Amino acid sequence: MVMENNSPFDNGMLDSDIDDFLPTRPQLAEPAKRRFRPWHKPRKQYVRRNQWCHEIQKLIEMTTFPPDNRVLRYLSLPSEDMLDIHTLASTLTGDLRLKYLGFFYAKDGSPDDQRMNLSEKAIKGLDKVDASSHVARDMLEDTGNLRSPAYKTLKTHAPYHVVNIDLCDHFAAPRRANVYACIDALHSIAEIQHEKAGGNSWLFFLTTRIQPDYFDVLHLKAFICAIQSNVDASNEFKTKLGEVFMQESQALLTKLAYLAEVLEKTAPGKIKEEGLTSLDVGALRQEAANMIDADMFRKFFCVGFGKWLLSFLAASTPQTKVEMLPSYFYSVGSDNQDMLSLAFRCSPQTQPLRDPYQLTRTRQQQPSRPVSEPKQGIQIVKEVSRLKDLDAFLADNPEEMESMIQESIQFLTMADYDTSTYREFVSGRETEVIAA
Amino acid sequence: MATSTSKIAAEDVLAREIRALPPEGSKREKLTVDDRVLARVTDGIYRQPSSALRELISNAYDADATRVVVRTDAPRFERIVIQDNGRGMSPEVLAYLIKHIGGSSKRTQRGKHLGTVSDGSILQSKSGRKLIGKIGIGMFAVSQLTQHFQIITKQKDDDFYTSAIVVLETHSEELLADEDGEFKTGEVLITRIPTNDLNAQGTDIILMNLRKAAKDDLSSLDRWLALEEENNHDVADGYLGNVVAPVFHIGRIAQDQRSELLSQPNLPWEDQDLPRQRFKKLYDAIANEVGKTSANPTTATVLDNYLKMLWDISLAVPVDYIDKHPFDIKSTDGIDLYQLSNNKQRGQASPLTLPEGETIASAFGMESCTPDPAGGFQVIIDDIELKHPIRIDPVLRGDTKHNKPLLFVGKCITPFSKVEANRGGGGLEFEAYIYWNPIITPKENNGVLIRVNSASGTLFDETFLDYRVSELTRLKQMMVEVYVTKGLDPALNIDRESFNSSHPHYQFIKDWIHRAIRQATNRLKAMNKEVLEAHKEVRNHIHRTSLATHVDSVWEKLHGGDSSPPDVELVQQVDLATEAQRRQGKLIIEHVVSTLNIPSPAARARATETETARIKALVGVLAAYGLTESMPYHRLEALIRDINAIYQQGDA
Repeated sequence: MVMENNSPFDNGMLDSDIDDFLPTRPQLAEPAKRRFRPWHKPRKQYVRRNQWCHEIQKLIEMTTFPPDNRVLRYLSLPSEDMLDIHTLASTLTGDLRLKYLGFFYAKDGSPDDQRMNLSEKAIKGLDKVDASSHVARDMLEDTGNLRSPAYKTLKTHAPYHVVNIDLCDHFAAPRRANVYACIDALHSIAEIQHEKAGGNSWLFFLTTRIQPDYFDVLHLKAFICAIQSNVDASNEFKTKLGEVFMQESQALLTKLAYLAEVLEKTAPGKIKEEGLTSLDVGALRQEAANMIDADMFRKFFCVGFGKWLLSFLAASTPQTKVEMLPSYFYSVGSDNQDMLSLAFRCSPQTQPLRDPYQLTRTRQQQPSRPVSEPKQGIQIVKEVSRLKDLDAFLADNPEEMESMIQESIQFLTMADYDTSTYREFVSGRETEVIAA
Repeated sequence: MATSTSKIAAEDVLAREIRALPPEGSKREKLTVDDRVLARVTDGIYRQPSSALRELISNAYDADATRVVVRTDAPRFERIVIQDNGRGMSPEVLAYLIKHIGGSSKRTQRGKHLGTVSDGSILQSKSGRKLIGKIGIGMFAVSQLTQHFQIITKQKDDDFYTSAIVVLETHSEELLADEDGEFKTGEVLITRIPTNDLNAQGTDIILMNLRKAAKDDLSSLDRWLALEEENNHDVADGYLGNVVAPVFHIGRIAQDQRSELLSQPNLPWEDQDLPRQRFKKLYDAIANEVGKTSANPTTATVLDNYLKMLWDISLAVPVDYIDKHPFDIKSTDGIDLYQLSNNKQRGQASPLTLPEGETIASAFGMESCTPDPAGGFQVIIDDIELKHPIRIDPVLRGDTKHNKPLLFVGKCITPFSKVEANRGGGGLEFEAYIYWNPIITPKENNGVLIRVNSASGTLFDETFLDYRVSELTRLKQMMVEVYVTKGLDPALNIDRESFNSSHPHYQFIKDWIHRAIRQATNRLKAMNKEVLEAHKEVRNHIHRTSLATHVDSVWEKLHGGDSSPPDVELVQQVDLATEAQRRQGKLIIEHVVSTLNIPSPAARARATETETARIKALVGVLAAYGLTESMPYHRLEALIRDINAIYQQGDA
């Protein structure tokens, strides 16, 4: 019959026409054996305990919490085990509670997502954790977009006593077109903190990898400028910087300027124009990067970023004073010590009241204390000169190492890891999975 | 028998396996039911996405939770999380649930054994709450929203959390039973995570991969698209009830770029407002819309689907009232109180004066507002703490000659308990009130709401359980709540959204409510008669135009002889004062009489007088037909101009 093959109603219905009505559901699969990850190493637990928790404890001591709202507000980028929040919750004493907002992006229903659900349930069960705590399933970078739900979430939960941007990746990765970067997210955070933090100091932690041939050129230029402007403005800064860079500051800045030039020339949009092959690109970047000593580049990042942050936060009214706190570097997988764990304290500077018409009874005038950029810049440079090699420190302190191994085992067991092979992992006999 | 024994063994085996899971271990299990009907039921029987949340919140209540926190990821609705601090599920309860979907252990002896119900009564939770759920399908209400979810649960003193990831299957009549006579409805993967926090308890349910239809519904997609169409093509549809932009909404997400908002939310609260302040502000915002855009707008027009869902859930779940329970009213609260009679033949509402300091509850021993045995029940959705959006407002609204709203209260312990349960359905006891105010705000609160064991699955029933007597005007002025403290739930259909209307309990309550309404209307009629006669006395001294007399007769024909048409006022422009009057329910219409082409002042005055009288009469007739209530003012005024133009053309 004609109807069978050529129905008059057969006017272009597609098999995909029903797609919108079909439920999405995964195939249930037994979770694969979980591997230890770089952030399960004892050195990271050391950072959690001795950098983050230590500084947070100091901040708590200097912050006045109102009696009806004794809540420490914490912004975090937790992994699915939430080890940072577990460690922090374990250090809080007294009636102070923890309210966190986390940004965590994983595919809906993926093993990491389901694991995060479990960790969050376990964390929220703790008396110390405020019920309104929340892990948003968004990328932190999206908060850079003022029209995003992620930004709305960030703003709703603000202000924060602690902002912990704990990346396993590169903070200053080359910018991709139409995608928001970490620095945009940091802009949103700083803006919201500026609006909502009141007079309270807040901590900012940044964990990032750095690699000169994988670096955004605009970040590089901004950091160079931030340093150069202080070199030009303050002799003391120049001297201190010289001490850190072994009197080679100017040579380093020149090499960095050359690196910026190469990165610009080899940017994805420019390659064609410049007639370069991908081999050329790799070689050029490598060459420019090799000119810079790894330790110098690390220090450059710390000073450059610190100085940029200082200028960014001090430019507003009221000004925010930025102090760098003891910070660390360590290796992730290989011998390359390209991981930084930086800490800053940001303190909004309220200015004393003035009575312009001297109507009120005279009293001793409080001096106003504007933030001195060169002075704070010097503080940052001094702190960078004390940057601590965590790998070496733990290798030289077996007791500390052992204590961190035990603490890691304790938290990983609670996160349902089979910790029987943990010591092998630490000693490098078990292959680890480098963070994606 | 053989099946039942093997089933019990199967769930016991599963529970043992869960308890023995090693680190990183997992257990995969089929979700099965032993009945095709149950397979159908677990695939979803609800009509609204909000039903799923309501059911999960009810489950938390039954598990003695004192707090439920829901996050919906609005306006994206990619994932919804429901967290409670209830008793949680032991591996045994979870195994029972997996092996007996639709066979809840609640209200059973098995429930006593599993610890899901009180030791004393199978109808109560451990802490003594009367159970809402009964059939164990509440959990599977989630299939309305998704086929993929995770349950994480822990009981106090356990040193582990149990996680169950569930993937449901779509029901098909082609589904075949396996050799054991079971129907597979999905799969579940169970894992455990240790904890040294023995005190923690509760259940999280995480809904993932939400159905597109559910996301579209919750994000009001159809409404936004319709508005967009209207704007793009300038095709305003003149019909009544056409789509209007919500005044308050959660924002609109871009369809293709779900990490960006197309329109920013417009909410009646600020970021810094506390959860309980937020809901109060939502309620006040709705109340403030009265007389703003229309005489009495509906929540469905003022709110988007998401906020409307919050509103509907807040009506249904057993939370506190926004101010106080209606039975916590005292004689001094500015409301005239009446007591309803249970006498079927000669029952009459009688005036009620409570002793000083006494509330209705304390004076009559009302059971429905006794404190929660578990210590309260808080429901917080996206940082908004829900409360029943019902207020016994002492402010009289509307054009009325009365001076106070009225509250009629009743309590009924029926003789059903004296009849065999298999005939009468068991004991039936309930308490109720009828609140009267010329305008009930919001409009949706006009009707009857029945709460069984403090929860409801229905909204206010505006038909007043099919009240057939023509009392439309007065019915529109009533809000009725019935609190069933014993019985009726056998008459509740399994979706808990409707009743089996042939059940003796339902029929009794329906009859009782209808009698109660008659008692209230008789009382109102008697009161009206007095005020109306006084009013008519005044009116008789004023010359009534034939137009005004006509409106009177229309009004009398439609609303009975004891009511009178509202006074209509025409103004050139609505100002602050007239707007305030509108909020009180006065009919104020913006209308400019055009007399430009009339040269003589005397003729101008006459024309103005004629047109004013005509418009007032027109509005009076429209009001008599109930058209002035929810039509937006600008539309009503346009309608009046257009009708008036016909007369003017005719005059010309």
